[in-house]
Amino acid sequence: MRHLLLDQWSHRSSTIHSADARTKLVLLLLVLLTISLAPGSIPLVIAPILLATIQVSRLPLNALLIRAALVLPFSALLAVAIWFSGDSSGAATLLIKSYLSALAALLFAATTPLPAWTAALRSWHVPATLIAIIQVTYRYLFVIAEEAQTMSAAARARGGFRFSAATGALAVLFARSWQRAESVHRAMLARGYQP
Amino acid sequence: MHIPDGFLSPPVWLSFDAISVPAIGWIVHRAKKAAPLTPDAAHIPLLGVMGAFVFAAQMINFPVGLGASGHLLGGSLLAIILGPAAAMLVMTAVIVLQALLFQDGGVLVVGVNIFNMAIAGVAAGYLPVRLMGRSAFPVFLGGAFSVLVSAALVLWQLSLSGVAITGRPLWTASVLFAITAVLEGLITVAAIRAIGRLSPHSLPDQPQVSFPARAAFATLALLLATGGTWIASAAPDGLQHLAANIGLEANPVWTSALLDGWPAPAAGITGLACVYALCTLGGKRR
Repeated sequence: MRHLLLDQWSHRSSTIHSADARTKLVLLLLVLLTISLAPGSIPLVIAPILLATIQVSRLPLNALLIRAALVLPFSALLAVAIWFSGDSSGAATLLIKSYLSALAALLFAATTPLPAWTAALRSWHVPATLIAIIQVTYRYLFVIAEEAQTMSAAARARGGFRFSAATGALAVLFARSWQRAESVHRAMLARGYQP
Repeated sequence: MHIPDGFLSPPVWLSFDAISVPAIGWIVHRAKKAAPLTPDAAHIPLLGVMGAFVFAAQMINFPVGLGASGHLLGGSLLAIILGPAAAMLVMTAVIVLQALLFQDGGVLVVGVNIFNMAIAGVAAGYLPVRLMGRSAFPVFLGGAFSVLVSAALVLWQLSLSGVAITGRPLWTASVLFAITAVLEGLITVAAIRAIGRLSPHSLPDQPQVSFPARAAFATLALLLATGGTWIASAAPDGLQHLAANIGLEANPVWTSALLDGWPAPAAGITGLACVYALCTLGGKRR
């Protein structure tokens, strides 16, 4: 799965990877702020900085560039709408800004493992409850997504979901998630978890 | 409906980020107090796993004919099962993870997306059920409202940012949003029914249904707010001039992008807050 790849990237080692997550988060926000405030195509000056950082973090350049392009279909749709209303430079600006912002955020996520950035958020007084929910969601995302994928694959093998069958699958997925939450809770209590 | 970075002007995303941050603090407080189903300790693993469920549920495709398919978005389903405050927290966690790990939605605008989908969307998705009970019609309305409200907010925020979507693109977008809304309503109804059969213990007790006139009033207020937002997006002439002040067009002085263009978002947000306060009052006095 694609996101697993990002998780592997974030656990590599480089100067950027070992930098403090709070510093990286502040830098990310500064870069994004610059991109957001700079007019026209000026945000492009950020591009060489991002590329250099990718080199220093020893991440696969092409893979990152392609992955950041996930944002482009949506941006392109809006850019076309702006283009038709007669603002071609506005359309270009939109594409540049959204792509560079996505690349910057991706670079952050590819050099900072989730425990590191959630700890950074925690130290900035983001509520502990929210952080805990983010962590548990991330922990079980792949587990439950795999169940969902198995169900879809099984349904495809039987000739695809009909609406009622998809509803059934959703309810089964929900019931299994609910049971899992209960056993996770028991396991946490057994290990001495204090809410 | 996840807005990426680079779409909105600084005054718009700053305003909504500034609303979302204290709102989340308050919602955490509420969710801790409410904990409707389970004692506190079980709450965090439950909410976390429900967040994972929302991600996974989006992999199950519902056919809508002509080879097209849609999937559950989940805001109103969660609100019905977990209560609004807990559902808002789960959706917030989902949106944060989507922004950082899936490049789905921006980082600077994460507060905007949280406001649109986790706060306003969940609130709108819960309102009909709160007022009319958990029968099929209010559940359907909840699912549809949660999508329509988020969509109207996105269009409004774009037009505030000087990205005017008018004419054919607006109609195309509106039709797509309407289809998504109906589908979300249908899936939510079917899912609640199926969950009620399969694991009835996970559904909370039926909320006490309030006086129908209040239900009608609050729903009307919600519709007015959504429709008004839509119209504001469709006829943004008064807002066009904002584009000149805002990041999307050439602007010699960077700082002015921070300073100009505040009145419109501020006025709009005040309006929204008033409508929401009315809805809450309508819903609360049972």
